[in-house]
Amino acid sequence: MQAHGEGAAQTGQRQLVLFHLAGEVYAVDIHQVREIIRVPQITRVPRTPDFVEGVINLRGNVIPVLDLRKRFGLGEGEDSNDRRIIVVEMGERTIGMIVDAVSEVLRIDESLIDPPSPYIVSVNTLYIEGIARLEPDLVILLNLEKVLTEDEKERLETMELEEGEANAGV
Amino acid sequence: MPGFELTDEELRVFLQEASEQLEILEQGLLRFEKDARNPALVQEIFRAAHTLKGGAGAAGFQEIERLTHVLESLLDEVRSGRRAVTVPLIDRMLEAVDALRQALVAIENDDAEGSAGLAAVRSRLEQLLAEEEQGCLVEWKVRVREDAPMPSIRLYQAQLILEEAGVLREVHPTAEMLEAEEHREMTALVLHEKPPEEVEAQLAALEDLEQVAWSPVSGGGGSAADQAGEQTGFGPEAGRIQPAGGVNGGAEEEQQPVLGNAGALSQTVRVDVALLDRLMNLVGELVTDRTRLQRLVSLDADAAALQEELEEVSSHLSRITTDLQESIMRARMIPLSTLFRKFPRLIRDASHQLGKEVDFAVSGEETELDRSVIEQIGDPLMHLLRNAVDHGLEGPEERLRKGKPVTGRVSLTAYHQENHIFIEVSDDGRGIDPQKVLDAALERGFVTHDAAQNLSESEILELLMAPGFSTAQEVSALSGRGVGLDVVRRNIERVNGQLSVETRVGEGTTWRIKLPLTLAIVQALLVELGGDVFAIPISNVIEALRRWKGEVEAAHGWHLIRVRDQVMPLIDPGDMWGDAYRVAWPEGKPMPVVVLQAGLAPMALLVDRLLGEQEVVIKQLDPIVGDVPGISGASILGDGSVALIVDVVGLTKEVRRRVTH
Repeated sequence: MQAHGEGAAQTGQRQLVLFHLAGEVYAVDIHQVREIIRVPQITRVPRTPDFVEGVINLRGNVIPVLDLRKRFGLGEGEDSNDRRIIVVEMGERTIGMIVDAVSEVLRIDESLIDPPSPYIVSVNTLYIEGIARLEPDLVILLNLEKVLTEDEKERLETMELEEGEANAGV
Repeated sequence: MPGFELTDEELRVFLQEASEQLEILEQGLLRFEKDARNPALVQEIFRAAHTLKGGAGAAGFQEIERLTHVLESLLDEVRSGRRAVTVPLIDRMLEAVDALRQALVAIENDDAEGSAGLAAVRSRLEQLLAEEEQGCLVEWKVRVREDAPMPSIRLYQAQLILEEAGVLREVHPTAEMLEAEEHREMTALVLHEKPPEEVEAQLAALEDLEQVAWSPVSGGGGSAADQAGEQTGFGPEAGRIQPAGGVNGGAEEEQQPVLGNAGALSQTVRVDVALLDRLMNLVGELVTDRTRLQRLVSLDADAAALQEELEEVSSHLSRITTDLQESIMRARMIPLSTLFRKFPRLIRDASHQLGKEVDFAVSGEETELDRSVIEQIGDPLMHLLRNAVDHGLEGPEERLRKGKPVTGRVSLTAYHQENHIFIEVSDDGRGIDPQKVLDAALERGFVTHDAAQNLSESEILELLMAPGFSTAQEVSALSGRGVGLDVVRRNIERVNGQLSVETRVGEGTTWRIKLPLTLAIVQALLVELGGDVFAIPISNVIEALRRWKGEVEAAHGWHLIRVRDQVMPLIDPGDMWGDAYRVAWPEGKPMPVVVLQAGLAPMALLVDRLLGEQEVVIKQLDPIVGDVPGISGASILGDGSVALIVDVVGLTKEVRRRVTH
């Protein structure tokens, strides 16, 4: 999967799945997406972070489902018919993410992707791999690795901080 | 080997049945040794041999038929009381079982040489059978009274009587020795032609004899076959089957290939007909879906209608395939007993060969695991068991000296706890002295003196499992542990298991294998909480009952209820998991309460509703869900919904932690 992504990068093209969240357009790399499903019955799990909606049965596998709005602190969404779960794969793990709507699959040029800037988007840049300028919208390309490892988030932040300081010291 | 060609299917059926009969035969013989007078058991063993003979005859495997015929004849004599059950007899018959098993493997592999061993085994069995015709081998013990004059003369007289009785195979002291010096005791091995009782009467007529005892050694004779020696009234000792091997102090230093391979599991799995029916139904539903899809292709409908129809078929398909997957997985699960039942034989052979008496206890063999895991842990378990007998247990003399019972205990236990299957091999032997292990490790350069300072006891014991450490003979003798623990550990780790050890010098050692539960199935009690279904493993449930709100008392931060004479804490799931799970408890209605076994004291869990019992497949939760106290995983129910599995041990631990803080 990773190798594939790099291969695509070399040719300068990325294929992205675009989706909506609180009025903004987001994207994940299509190679990380296993499938897109309607929101089924979700089983709550007690004492989990509030963005963990629960677990679902995906063809015999029990997978966790996150609410991306809550994950990014974008407020509760409305129950709409357009809501979907994007099922993504990360290594051995399979995780579902609830989004407001899935719009399209696009092939875009690598050169259109800029590094994240905190001034343009409402989401913590930690979760962002880059921003693609696609008129009329800006598309926020998510760094799934970061989005899906909440437990380690703080640890990661402090580690990065320490590394930064250490580097600054040298 | 067969005189005519069998079809593959016929061959497979024969092999399957034959190995099942061999299994019965072997298990029966092992039990027989301890329970020789149980007529039902003799009958069972006899029937297995008979069935095997018939099957082999029908399939045209003549050598197998001939061997089982001899086996059957011997068993028939035992059954009719004409032959005594002795250790050598059982040894020979077990040898035959082994040879037959090898022959079956050879047939399966189309190896013509495989049955070569059968003839040799058969001739040994025939020899046993023939001995009966000449008489039976009896061991005699004769002792002369302490105050009797000229005891050697009395013993010589006794020897003459025994010579008359049949063939005197061995005697101690010999006639020459009796002439040379005084003796008061004599043992002799006689192949009897006369009935031992008659000889016994003759001996009893001799003067000055304090004790006359006899016991059949193999192929006990005639009508007296089941009479295992009688004392003559002179002394208390009655003849009986002696454990083979006897005391053998030297055996502990020797690493002997006591046990063979743990043996491959059968390549076939028995499947419950109900499960097969279920699989068939699911396949039937799949066919329906296929038809619907084919119809969709030719359907002239608008996009929206098509979409709707497709979604329906696809959701149905996903439910069916899930069920199919789980059913197939269930078919792969086999109880540990398929592996464990091979071990009593291994322990028996090892203990006999080493001259140790071993009491072997097995429990938890009904625990189910995926067959691939069971396959992998067979050899490691075999090694651990052998080590327990060989190195863990002391010899009988040493045990007596230490004031322990002569019979050592080795136990094999499987159980299920906190999301894992545990298998333990314990002995009540000498234990492992960490200091000796450390000394050996230093000597062999496994650790430096500096590093040794900081090692904890468990870290030192870990060294036993270091590659190359325990294969050293002198180390095994020193530390009291055996060969290849690194290999054992590696095999266990291959199935994501862990090996650990607990030991107390002088008291014994427990080796513990911890295996992941990813494939495990548990029987669970389903309950409703906050509108969701939770599964509580039945192994943790003592009972379910109802209580009125007024029956709850409060003390020291606990809510308490009384179940018969016992007072126990009552857990409201709302306290554990948040208000969404709080049980509304109306005054006028008793609510269901599940009494849980966890640790030493039971606890009760209040629930909204009891839903019944069901087998569930345990699935792990993704780490993003986090470590939820009291939840060990999830499972998919028949309707496709997900139920969380309650981790009872974790739950009660958490409750105790909260109350005490």
